[in-house]
Amino acid sequence: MNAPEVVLNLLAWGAVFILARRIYTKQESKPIIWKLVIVILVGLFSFSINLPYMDQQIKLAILPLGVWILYGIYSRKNEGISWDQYRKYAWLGFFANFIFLAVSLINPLIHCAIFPGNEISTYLSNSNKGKIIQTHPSADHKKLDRDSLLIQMDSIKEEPVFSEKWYYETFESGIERSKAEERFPYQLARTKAKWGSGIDPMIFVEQDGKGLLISTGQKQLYFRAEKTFLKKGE
Amino acid sequence: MRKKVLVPLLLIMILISCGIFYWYYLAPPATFPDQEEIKAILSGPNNRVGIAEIQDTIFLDDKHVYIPFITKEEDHGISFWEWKKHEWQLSSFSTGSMPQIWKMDSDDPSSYYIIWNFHPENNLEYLTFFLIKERGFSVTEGKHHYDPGIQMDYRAEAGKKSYGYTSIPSEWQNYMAAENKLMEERKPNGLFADFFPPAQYYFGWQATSADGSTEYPSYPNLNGFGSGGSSTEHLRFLNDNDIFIR
Repeated sequence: MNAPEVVLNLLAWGAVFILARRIYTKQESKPIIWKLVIVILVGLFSFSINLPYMDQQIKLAILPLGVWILYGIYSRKNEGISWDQYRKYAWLGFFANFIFLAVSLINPLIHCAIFPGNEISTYLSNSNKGKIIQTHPSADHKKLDRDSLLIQMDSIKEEPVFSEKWYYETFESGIERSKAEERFPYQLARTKAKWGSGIDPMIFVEQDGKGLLISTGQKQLYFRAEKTFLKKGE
Repeated sequence: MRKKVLVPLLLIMILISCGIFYWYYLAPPATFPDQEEIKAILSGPNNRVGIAEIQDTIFLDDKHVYIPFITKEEDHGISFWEWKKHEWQLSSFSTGSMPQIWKMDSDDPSSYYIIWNFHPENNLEYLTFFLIKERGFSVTEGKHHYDPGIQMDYRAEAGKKSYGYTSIPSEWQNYMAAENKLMEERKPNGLFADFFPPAQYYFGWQATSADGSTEYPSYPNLNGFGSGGSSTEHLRFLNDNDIFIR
Protein backbone atom coordinates (compact mmCIF):
# COMPACT_ATOMS: atom_id res chain seq x y z
CA MET A 1 0.00 0.00 0.00
CA ASN A 2 1.28 3.43 -0.91
CA ALA A 3 0.32 5.26 2.29
CA PRO A 4 1.21 8.87 1.31
CA GLU A 5 -0.73 8.51 -1.93
CA VAL A 6 -3.80 7.15 -0.15
CA VAL A 7 -3.74 9.99 2.39
CA LEU A 8 -3.27 12.68 -0.28
CA ASN A 9 -6.08 11.26 -2.42
CA LEU A 10 -8.42 11.26 0.58
CA LEU A 11 -7.50 14.91 1.18
CA ALA A 12 -8.21 15.72 -2.47
CA TRP A 13 -11.66 14.11 -2.29
CA GLY A 14 -12.24 15.99 0.96
CA ALA A 15 -11.47 19.25 -0.85
CA VAL A 16 -13.93 18.39 -3.61
CA PHE A 17 -16.57 17.60 -0.99
CA ILE A 18 -16.02 20.94 0.83
CA LEU A 19 -16.24 22.90 -2.43
CA ALA A 20 -19.44 21.09 -3.43
CA ARG A 21 -20.95 21.87 -0.02
CA ARG A 22 -20.07 25.54 -0.36
CA ILE A 23 -21.79 25.72 -3.75
CA TYR A 24 -24.81 23.88 -2.36
CA THR A 25 -25.34 26.16 0.68
CA LYS A 26 -25.13 29.28 -1.48
CA GLN A 27 -27.68 28.03 -4.02
CA GLU A 28 -31.25 29.23 -3.86
CA SER A 29 -32.94 26.47 -5.84
CA LYS A 30 -31.33 23.28 -4.57
CA PRO A 31 -30.58 20.41 -6.94
CA ILE A 32 -31.17 16.76 -6.00
CA ILE A 33 -28.15 15.53 -4.04
CA TRP A 34 -27.61 12.10 -5.64
CA LYS A 35 -27.82 13.73 -9.05
CA LEU A 36 -25.22 16.34 -8.21
CA VAL A 37 -22.84 13.61 -7.08
CA ILE A 38 -23.20 11.96 -10.48
CA VAL A 39 -22.76 15.33 -12.21
CA ILE A 40 -19.44 15.87 -10.40
CA LEU A 41 -18.24 12.39 -11.37
CA VAL A 42 -19.25 12.86 -15.02
CA GLY A 43 -17.62 16.30 -14.97
CA LEU A 44 -14.32 14.62 -14.06
CA PHE A 45 -14.30 12.94 -17.44
CA SER A 46 -11.88 14.78 -19.71
CA PHE A 47 -9.50 14.51 -22.59
CA SER A 48 -6.04 14.63 -21.07
CA ILE A 49 -2.42 14.18 -22.05
CA ASN A 50 0.14 12.20 -20.12
CA LEU A 51 3.40 13.82 -19.18
CA PRO A 52 6.42 12.14 -17.60
CA TYR A 53 7.23 13.39 -14.12
CA MET A 54 9.67 11.82 -11.64
CA ASP A 55 9.48 8.21 -12.90
CA GLN A 56 5.73 8.31 -13.37
CA GLN A 57 3.01 9.65 -15.65
CA ILE A 58 0.87 12.61 -14.71
CA LYS A 59 -2.39 13.54 -16.42
CA LEU A 60 -2.98 17.07 -17.61
CA ALA A 61 -6.69 17.59 -18.38
CA ILE A 62 -7.33 19.71 -21.47
CA LEU A 63 -10.86 19.29 -22.82
CA PRO A 64 -13.85 19.12 -20.43
CA LEU A 65 -15.65 16.27 -22.20
CA GLY A 66 -17.84 15.52 -19.19
CA VAL A 67 -19.01 19.12 -18.93
CA TRP A 68 -19.99 19.10 -22.62
CA ILE A 69 -21.99 15.93 -22.23
CA LEU A 70 -23.81 17.36 -19.20
CA TYR A 71 -24.49 20.59 -21.07
CA GLY A 72 -26.02 18.55 -23.88
CA ILE A 73 -28.32 16.81 -21.43
CA TYR A 74 -29.32 19.70 -19.18
CA SER A 75 -29.33 22.81 -21.37
CA ARG A 76 -32.67 22.02 -22.98
CA LYS A 77 -34.40 20.73 -19.83
CA ASN A 78 -36.77 23.09 -17.99
CA GLU A 79 -35.80 26.01 -20.21
CA GLY A 80 -32.25 26.02 -18.89
CA ILE A 81 -33.14 26.07 -15.20
CA SER A 82 -31.67 22.57 -14.68
CA TRP A 83 -28.41 23.63 -16.28
CA ASP A 84 -28.29 26.63 -13.95
CA GLN A 85 -28.63 24.26 -11.02
CA TYR A 86 -25.96 21.78 -12.10
CA ARG A 87 -23.49 23.90 -14.11
CA LYS A 88 -21.21 24.68 -11.18
CA TYR A 89 -20.98 21.02 -10.15
CA ALA A 90 -20.03 19.96 -13.66
CA TRP A 91 -17.19 22.49 -13.69
CA LEU A 92 -16.21 21.44 -10.17
CA GLY A 93 -15.81 17.93 -11.55
CA PHE A 94 -13.51 19.20 -14.29
CA PHE A 95 -11.64 21.39 -11.80
CA ALA A 96 -11.12 18.32 -9.58
CA ASN A 97 -8.77 17.01 -12.30
CA PHE A 98 -6.38 19.78 -11.34
CA ILE A 99 -6.68 19.00 -7.64
CA PHE A 100 -5.62 15.44 -8.46
CA LEU A 101 -2.87 16.80 -10.69
CA ALA A 102 -1.55 18.79 -7.73
CA VAL A 103 -1.66 15.60 -5.66
CA SER A 104 0.38 13.70 -8.22
CA LEU A 105 2.91 16.54 -8.32
CA ILE A 106 3.31 16.64 -4.53
CA ASN A 107 3.08 12.91 -3.95
CA PRO A 108 6.58 11.90 -5.22
CA LEU A 109 8.18 14.67 -3.14
CA ILE A 110 6.53 13.45 0.05
CA HIS A 111 7.23 9.84 -0.89
CA CYS A 112 10.92 10.69 -1.37
CA ALA A 113 11.07 12.42 2.00
CA ILE A 114 9.57 9.48 3.89
CA PHE A 115 11.11 6.71 1.79
CA PRO A 116 14.45 7.92 0.40
CA GLY A 117 15.02 6.28 -2.98
CA ASN A 118 18.76 5.88 -2.47
CA GLU A 119 18.64 4.06 0.87
CA ILE A 120 18.59 0.29 1.04
CA SER A 121 16.24 0.28 4.06
CA THR A 122 13.44 1.59 1.83
CA TYR A 123 13.51 -1.61 -0.21
CA LEU A 124 14.60 -4.05 2.47
CA SER A 125 13.15 -3.43 5.89
CA ASN A 126 12.32 -6.94 7.00
CA SER A 127 14.99 -9.49 6.20
CA ASN A 128 14.08 -11.97 8.96
CA LYS A 129 12.16 -14.19 6.59
CA GLY A 130 14.56 -13.57 3.71
CA LYS A 131 15.57 -16.59 1.70
CA ILE A 132 18.23 -17.02 -0.98
CA ILE A 133 17.03 -18.73 -4.14
CA GLN A 134 19.66 -19.79 -6.60
CA THR A 135 18.46 -18.66 -10.02
CA HIS A 136 21.54 -19.64 -12.06
CA PRO A 137 23.77 -22.75 -11.83
CA SER A 138 27.04 -20.81 -12.29
CA ALA A 139 27.20 -20.08 -8.55
CA ASP A 140 27.65 -22.16 -5.39
CA HIS A 141 24.84 -23.02 -3.02
CA LYS A 142 24.67 -20.21 -0.51
CA LYS A 143 22.46 -19.12 2.37
CA LEU A 144 21.59 -15.66 3.59
CA ASP A 145 23.85 -14.38 6.38
CA ARG A 146 21.22 -12.28 8.19
CA ASP A 147 23.59 -10.91 10.83
CA SER A 148 26.01 -9.64 8.22
CA LEU A 149 23.15 -7.95 6.36
CA LEU A 150 21.73 -6.36 9.53
CA ILE A 151 25.09 -5.05 10.74
CA GLN A 152 25.92 -3.52 7.36
CA MET A 153 22.48 -2.00 6.63
CA ASP A 154 23.61 1.58 7.33
CA SER A 155 26.85 1.35 5.38
CA ILE A 156 25.48 -0.18 2.14
CA LYS A 157 25.84 2.45 -0.59
CA GLU A 158 24.12 3.04 -3.88
CA GLU A 159 26.21 2.78 -7.02
CA PRO A 160 25.32 3.20 -10.69
CA VAL A 161 23.85 0.30 -12.67
CA PHE A 162 26.36 -0.62 -15.40
CA SER A 163 23.91 -2.73 -17.37
CA GLU A 164 25.76 -2.63 -20.68
CA LYS A 165 29.15 -3.34 -19.13
CA TRP A 166 27.78 -6.24 -17.07
CA TYR A 167 26.07 -7.69 -20.10
CA TYR A 168 29.15 -7.71 -22.34
CA GLU A 169 31.63 -8.57 -19.58
CA THR A 170 30.24 -12.07 -19.33
CA PHE A 171 30.98 -12.76 -22.99
CA GLU A 172 34.49 -11.29 -23.04
CA SER A 173 36.27 -14.63 -23.06
CA GLY A 174 34.42 -15.47 -26.26
CA ILE A 175 32.26 -18.22 -24.80
CA GLU A 176 28.77 -19.08 -25.99
CA ARG A 177 25.77 -17.19 -24.71
CA SER A 178 24.38 -20.07 -22.72
CA LYS A 179 27.74 -20.99 -21.14
CA ALA A 180 28.48 -17.58 -19.65
CA GLU A 181 28.50 -17.14 -15.89
CA GLU A 182 25.83 -14.93 -14.40
CA ARG A 183 26.85 -11.90 -12.36
CA PHE A 184 23.64 -11.96 -10.28
CA PRO A 185 22.86 -15.67 -9.77
CA TYR A 186 20.65 -15.41 -6.65
CA GLN A 187 17.29 -13.94 -5.82
CA LEU A 188 16.59 -12.63 -2.32
CA ALA A 189 12.95 -13.64 -1.81
CA ARG A 190 10.32 -13.21 0.88
CA THR A 191 11.59 -9.86 2.14
CA LYS A 192 9.43 -6.73 2.31
CA ALA A 193 9.97 -3.07 1.51
CA LYS A 194 9.26 -0.47 4.17
CA TRP A 195 5.59 -0.45 5.25
CA GLY A 196 3.48 2.12 3.44
CA SER A 197 5.93 2.66 0.61
CA GLY A 198 3.81 0.72 -1.86
CA ILE A 199 7.02 -0.65 -3.38
CA ASP A 200 7.25 -4.32 -4.26
CA PRO A 201 10.84 -4.84 -5.30
CA MET A 202 12.56 -7.82 -6.88
CA ILE A 203 16.06 -8.28 -5.48
CA PHE A 204 19.00 -10.07 -7.08
CA VAL A 205 22.24 -10.80 -5.25
CA GLU A 206 25.68 -10.58 -6.84
CA GLN A 207 27.90 -13.65 -7.06
CA ASP A 208 30.31 -12.39 -4.37
CA GLY A 209 27.37 -11.69 -2.05
CA LYS A 210 28.23 -7.99 -1.69
CA GLY A 211 25.96 -6.44 -4.31
CA LEU A 212 22.17 -6.11 -4.50
CA LEU A 213 20.35 -5.32 -7.73
CA ILE A 214 16.87 -4.03 -6.93
CA SER A 215 14.13 -3.67 -9.54
CA THR A 216 10.92 -1.79 -8.90
CA GLY A 217 8.23 -1.14 -11.47
CA GLN A 218 9.84 2.21 -12.34
CA LYS A 219 13.59 1.80 -12.02
CA GLN A 220 16.54 -0.32 -11.07
CA LEU A 221 19.09 0.37 -8.35
CA TYR A 222 22.40 -1.17 -7.38
CA PHE A 223 23.74 -1.30 -3.83
CA ARG A 224 27.15 -2.42 -2.74
CA ALA A 225 28.41 -3.53 0.69
CA GLU A 226 31.90 -4.04 2.19
CA LYS A 227 31.46 -7.64 3.31
CA THR A 228 29.46 -10.51 1.87
CA PHE A 229 26.04 -11.36 3.27
CA LEU A 230 26.02 -14.89 1.99
CA LYS A 231 27.35 -17.94 3.79
CA LYS A 232 27.97 -21.53 2.85
CA GLY A 233 24.78 -23.48 2.22
CA GLU A 234 24.22 -27.22 2.36
CA MET B 1 -51.33 -1.89 -11.33
CA ARG B 2 -48.11 -1.70 -13.33
CA LYS B 3 -45.98 -1.78 -10.19
CA LYS B 4 -47.73 -4.92 -8.97
CA VAL B 5 -46.54 -6.86 -12.00
CA LEU B 6 -43.10 -5.28 -12.30
CA VAL B 7 -41.73 -6.12 -8.86
CA PRO B 8 -42.47 -9.88 -8.88
CA LEU B 9 -41.23 -10.06 -12.49
CA LEU B 10 -37.93 -8.44 -11.48
CA LEU B 11 -37.60 -10.85 -8.55
CA ILE B 12 -38.15 -13.85 -10.81
CA MET B 13 -35.58 -12.57 -13.29
CA ILE B 14 -32.98 -12.16 -10.51
CA LEU B 15 -33.73 -15.65 -9.20
CA ILE B 16 -33.36 -17.19 -12.66
CA SER B 17 -30.05 -15.47 -13.35
CA CYS B 18 -28.74 -16.53 -9.94
CA GLY B 19 -29.78 -20.07 -10.77
CA ILE B 20 -28.02 -19.97 -14.14
CA PHE B 21 -24.88 -18.55 -12.56
CA TYR B 22 -24.89 -21.27 -9.91
CA TRP B 23 -25.49 -24.03 -12.45
CA TYR B 24 -22.69 -22.98 -14.79
CA TYR B 25 -20.02 -21.74 -12.39
CA LEU B 26 -20.57 -22.95 -8.84
CA ALA B 27 -22.33 -26.31 -8.91
CA PRO B 28 -20.09 -29.24 -7.83
CA PRO B 29 -18.69 -31.33 -10.71
CA ALA B 30 -20.68 -34.34 -11.90
CA THR B 31 -19.08 -37.77 -11.95
CA PHE B 32 -16.33 -38.03 -14.52
CA PRO B 33 -17.35 -39.84 -17.74
CA ASP B 34 -16.20 -43.45 -17.95
CA GLN B 35 -13.39 -44.67 -20.21
CA GLU B 36 -15.70 -45.62 -23.09
CA GLU B 37 -17.13 -42.10 -23.24
CA ILE B 38 -13.62 -40.58 -23.07
CA LYS B 39 -12.55 -42.86 -25.93
CA ALA B 40 -15.60 -41.87 -27.94
CA ILE B 41 -14.91 -38.14 -27.55
CA LEU B 42 -11.23 -38.47 -28.46
CA SER B 43 -11.92 -40.69 -31.51
CA GLY B 44 -14.94 -38.66 -32.54
CA PRO B 45 -15.16 -36.60 -35.73
CA ASN B 46 -13.80 -33.45 -34.07
CA ASN B 47 -10.59 -34.93 -32.74
CA ARG B 48 -9.93 -38.12 -34.76
CA VAL B 49 -7.48 -39.77 -32.40
CA GLY B 50 -7.48 -43.54 -32.82
CA ILE B 51 -7.35 -44.61 -29.20
CA ALA B 52 -6.04 -48.06 -28.34
CA GLU B 53 -5.89 -47.65 -24.59
CA ILE B 54 -6.75 -45.15 -21.90
CA GLN B 55 -3.86 -45.51 -19.44
CA ASP B 56 -5.11 -43.71 -16.37
CA THR B 57 -7.48 -41.07 -15.00
CA ILE B 58 -5.63 -38.63 -12.77
CA PHE B 59 -7.52 -35.97 -10.83
CA LEU B 60 -5.11 -33.04 -10.37
CA ASP B 61 -7.88 -31.38 -8.39
CA ASP B 62 -11.65 -31.92 -8.41
CA LYS B 63 -12.14 -29.90 -11.60
CA HIS B 64 -9.03 -30.81 -13.62
CA VAL B 65 -8.29 -34.29 -14.94
CA TYR B 66 -5.25 -35.59 -16.80
CA ILE B 67 -5.70 -38.64 -19.02
CA PRO B 68 -2.70 -40.30 -20.70
CA PHE B 69 -3.52 -42.57 -23.63
CA ILE B 70 -1.97 -44.78 -26.32
CA THR B 71 -3.07 -44.55 -29.95
CA LYS B 72 -3.48 -47.42 -32.40
CA GLU B 73 -0.12 -46.38 -33.95
CA GLU B 74 1.49 -46.85 -30.52
CA ASP B 75 1.89 -43.13 -30.12
CA HIS B 76 1.68 -41.88 -26.54
CA GLY B 77 -0.51 -38.91 -25.87
CA ILE B 78 -1.85 -36.67 -23.14
CA SER B 79 -5.23 -35.05 -22.75
CA PHE B 80 -6.57 -32.47 -20.32
CA TRP B 81 -10.18 -32.38 -19.13
CA GLU B 82 -11.82 -29.58 -17.30
CA TRP B 83 -15.14 -29.06 -15.51
CA LYS B 84 -16.44 -25.97 -17.27
CA LYS B 85 -19.95 -24.58 -17.76
CA HIS B 86 -21.47 -27.60 -16.07
CA GLU B 87 -19.83 -30.04 -18.41
CA TRP B 88 -16.69 -32.15 -18.51
CA GLN B 89 -14.84 -30.68 -21.48
CA LEU B 90 -11.76 -31.81 -23.36
CA SER B 91 -9.65 -28.66 -23.10
CA SER B 92 -6.52 -29.87 -24.88
CA PHE B 93 -4.78 -33.00 -26.18
CA SER B 94 -1.62 -33.93 -28.04
CA THR B 95 0.39 -36.92 -29.15
CA GLY B 96 4.15 -37.09 -29.71
CA SER B 97 6.93 -36.64 -27.25
CA MET B 98 6.75 -33.03 -26.11
CA PRO B 99 5.96 -32.47 -22.45
CA GLN B 100 3.47 -29.71 -21.76
CA ILE B 101 2.76 -27.29 -19.00
CA TRP B 102 -0.85 -26.92 -17.92
CA LYS B 103 -1.69 -23.59 -16.31
CA MET B 104 -4.96 -24.25 -14.51
CA ASP B 105 -5.03 -20.71 -13.16
CA SER B 106 -2.60 -18.61 -15.18
CA ASP B 107 -2.25 -16.04 -12.38
CA ASP B 108 -1.20 -18.61 -9.83
CA PRO B 109 2.07 -20.48 -10.54
CA SER B 110 1.27 -23.02 -7.81
CA SER B 111 -1.48 -24.37 -10.06
CA TYR B 112 0.92 -25.13 -12.92
CA TYR B 113 1.64 -28.76 -13.79
CA ILE B 114 4.20 -30.23 -16.17
CA ILE B 115 2.85 -33.36 -17.85
CA TRP B 116 4.44 -35.97 -20.11
CA ASN B 117 3.94 -39.36 -21.72
CA PHE B 118 6.85 -41.07 -23.51
CA HIS B 119 6.96 -44.44 -25.24
CA PRO B 120 8.68 -46.95 -22.91
CA GLU B 121 11.12 -47.94 -25.72
CA ASN B 122 12.96 -44.69 -25.04
CA ASN B 123 14.22 -46.16 -21.75
CA LEU B 124 14.14 -42.88 -19.92
CA GLU B 125 15.87 -42.59 -16.57
CA TYR B 126 14.80 -39.09 -15.64
CA LEU B 127 13.55 -35.81 -17.07
CA THR B 128 14.96 -32.39 -16.31
CA PHE B 129 12.76 -29.33 -16.54
CA PHE B 130 14.09 -25.81 -16.83
CA LEU B 131 12.91 -22.31 -16.11
CA ILE B 132 14.98 -20.00 -18.31
CA LYS B 133 15.28 -16.32 -19.04
CA GLU B 134 17.98 -14.94 -21.29
CA ARG B 135 20.33 -12.35 -19.86
CA GLY B 136 19.54 -8.88 -21.18
CA PHE B 137 19.99 -5.16 -20.70
CA SER B 138 18.49 -1.88 -21.82
CA VAL B 139 19.39 1.79 -21.64
CA THR B 140 16.53 4.23 -22.26
CA GLU B 141 16.86 7.94 -21.62
CA GLY B 142 19.92 7.32 -19.51
CA LYS B 143 18.15 4.78 -17.32
CA HIS B 144 20.05 1.52 -17.11
CA HIS B 145 18.33 -1.80 -16.65
CA TYR B 146 20.01 -5.18 -16.36
CA ASP B 147 18.12 -8.47 -16.55
CA PRO B 148 20.06 -11.30 -14.93
CA GLY B 149 20.05 -14.60 -16.79
CA ILE B 150 17.86 -17.19 -15.12
CA GLN B 151 18.33 -20.94 -15.32
CA MET B 152 16.66 -23.11 -12.72
CA ASP B 153 16.29 -26.82 -13.13
CA TYR B 154 14.28 -29.57 -11.54
CA ARG B 155 14.63 -33.30 -12.01
CA ALA B 156 11.71 -35.73 -12.18
CA GLU B 157 12.29 -39.50 -12.17
CA ALA B 158 10.68 -41.20 -15.14
CA GLY B 159 9.60 -44.20 -13.07
CA LYS B 160 8.04 -47.40 -14.36
CA LYS B 161 5.05 -45.80 -16.04
CA SER B 162 5.36 -44.08 -19.41
CA TYR B 163 3.40 -41.06 -18.19
CA GLY B 164 3.79 -38.70 -15.31
CA TYR B 165 3.28 -35.22 -13.96
CA THR B 166 4.85 -32.82 -11.51
CA SER B 167 3.91 -29.49 -9.99
CA ILE B 168 6.20 -26.47 -10.21
CA PRO B 169 8.89 -26.28 -7.48
CA SER B 170 8.31 -23.59 -4.86
CA GLU B 171 11.52 -21.74 -5.76
CA TRP B 172 10.27 -21.32 -9.33
CA GLN B 173 6.96 -20.11 -7.96
CA ASN B 174 8.75 -17.50 -5.84
CA TYR B 175 10.70 -16.22 -8.81
CA MET B 176 7.73 -16.25 -11.21
CA ALA B 177 5.44 -14.46 -8.77
CA ALA B 178 7.99 -11.64 -8.29
CA GLU B 179 8.71 -11.41 -12.03
CA ASN B 180 5.01 -11.34 -12.98
CA LYS B 181 4.31 -8.57 -10.49
CA LEU B 182 7.19 -6.51 -11.84
CA MET B 183 6.00 -6.93 -15.44
CA GLU B 184 2.55 -5.78 -14.40
CA GLU B 185 3.99 -2.61 -12.83
CA ARG B 186 6.28 -1.86 -15.75
CA LYS B 187 3.37 -1.58 -18.17
CA PRO B 188 2.91 2.14 -18.56
CA ASN B 189 -0.66 3.31 -18.90
CA GLY B 190 -1.01 6.06 -21.43
CA LEU B 191 -1.83 6.81 -25.02
CA PHE B 192 1.53 8.22 -25.97
CA ALA B 193 3.88 5.83 -24.22
CA ASP B 194 5.51 3.17 -26.35
CA PHE B 195 5.61 -0.19 -24.76
CA PHE B 196 7.83 -3.02 -25.86
CA PRO B 197 7.14 -5.97 -23.61
CA PRO B 198 10.45 -7.07 -22.08
CA ALA B 199 11.71 -10.61 -22.60
CA GLN B 200 9.86 -13.20 -20.58
CA TYR B 201 10.96 -16.46 -19.04
CA TYR B 202 10.13 -19.78 -20.67
CA PHE B 203 10.11 -23.46 -19.82
CA GLY B 204 12.41 -26.11 -21.27
CA TRP B 205 13.06 -29.80 -20.90
CA GLN B 206 15.70 -32.50 -21.37
CA ALA B 207 15.42 -36.26 -21.12
CA THR B 208 18.17 -38.57 -19.95
CA SER B 209 17.95 -42.21 -20.93
CA ALA B 210 19.30 -45.20 -19.01
CA ASP B 211 22.55 -45.11 -21.03
CA GLY B 212 23.13 -41.46 -20.07
CA SER B 213 22.31 -39.87 -23.40
CA THR B 214 20.35 -36.63 -23.54
CA GLU B 215 19.23 -37.02 -27.14
CA TYR B 216 15.65 -36.20 -28.07
CA PRO B 217 13.61 -39.30 -27.13
CA SER B 218 12.29 -39.97 -30.61
CA TYR B 219 10.75 -43.44 -30.42
CA PRO B 220 8.38 -44.07 -32.12
CA ASN B 221 9.34 -41.63 -34.82
CA LEU B 222 5.86 -40.28 -35.41
CA ASN B 223 4.73 -36.75 -35.90
CA GLY B 224 2.73 -35.54 -32.99
CA PHE B 225 -0.39 -33.47 -33.34
CA GLY B 226 -2.94 -31.98 -31.07
CA SER B 227 -5.24 -29.15 -30.29
CA GLY B 228 -4.78 -26.94 -27.32
CA GLY B 229 -6.31 -24.07 -25.47
CA SER B 230 -4.55 -20.99 -24.22
CA SER B 231 -3.89 -22.60 -20.85
CA THR B 232 -1.37 -25.11 -22.17
CA GLU B 233 2.11 -24.52 -23.48
CA HIS B 234 4.74 -26.81 -24.98
CA LEU B 235 8.09 -26.90 -23.25
CA ARG B 236 11.13 -26.21 -25.44
CA PHE B 237 13.50 -29.12 -25.97
CA LEU B 238 17.01 -28.05 -24.92
CA ASN B 239 20.34 -29.41 -26.10
CA ASP B 240 23.38 -29.42 -23.85
CA ASN B 241 24.52 -26.45 -25.97
CA ASP B 242 21.50 -24.40 -24.92
CA ILE B 243 22.15 -24.52 -21.20
CA PHE B 244 24.82 -23.77 -18.65
CA ILE B 245 26.32 -26.95 -17.26
CA ARG B 246 28.62 -26.86 -14.26
